[in-house]
Amino acid sequence: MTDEAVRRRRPSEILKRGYSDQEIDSFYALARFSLETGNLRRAEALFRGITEAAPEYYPAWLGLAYVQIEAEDFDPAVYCIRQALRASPNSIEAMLYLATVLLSTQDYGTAGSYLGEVGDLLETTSVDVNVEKFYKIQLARYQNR
Amino acid sequence: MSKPKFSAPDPFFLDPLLHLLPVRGSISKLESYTASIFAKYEQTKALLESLDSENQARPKMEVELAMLRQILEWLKLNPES
Repeated sequence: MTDEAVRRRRPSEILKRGYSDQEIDSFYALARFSLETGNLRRAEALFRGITEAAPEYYPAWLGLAYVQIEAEDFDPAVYCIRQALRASPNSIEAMLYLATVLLSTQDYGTAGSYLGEVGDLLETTSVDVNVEKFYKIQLARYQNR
Repeated sequence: MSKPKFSAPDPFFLDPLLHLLPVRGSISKLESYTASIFAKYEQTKALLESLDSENQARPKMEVELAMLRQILEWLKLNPES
């Protein structure tokens, strides 16, 4: 690549090239650990940075959604979850996140659609038993609305 | 012996959304990336300082810089010292 080509790229694009998948995974692990230990401020800074450096890394979008759900900022949370689904359209975790938030905001129609999709995926995908239980709890929320 | 009537709740259901977050990577690996993280911090900071205040790349770079600062601080490195 010529020096001129390097100069034409925006500085943030140059920076993105410098992160390995392993580095991003480790940054995310620290962000998740920060949530577990109650340091939401650090978690948010890390999740935001990861979504900036690697927008296709869906777990960081979900982590950022978690921070916003904690703050009851549901609209930005929905945006983040939709970004996660763009990066990973069949993510059961992301669909459950979205259905949970949509039930909280009383958007029952859309929540029902996502719960339906999760139900279909669960018929063919093996998941943790707790994930399945959580799905059933959200389904009960939907049915008892 | 009969099953206890009350048992501690499953940690998953204390905070299900937290436990739904995928598990990736390991924080123990971070230390091995210290040199490259520090270099990226310095590089980003220098690039940021070279941009004028109206530059549209600034907010994105500030977010990246904040991320790197948090990691360095967690590694007990003060990037500004």
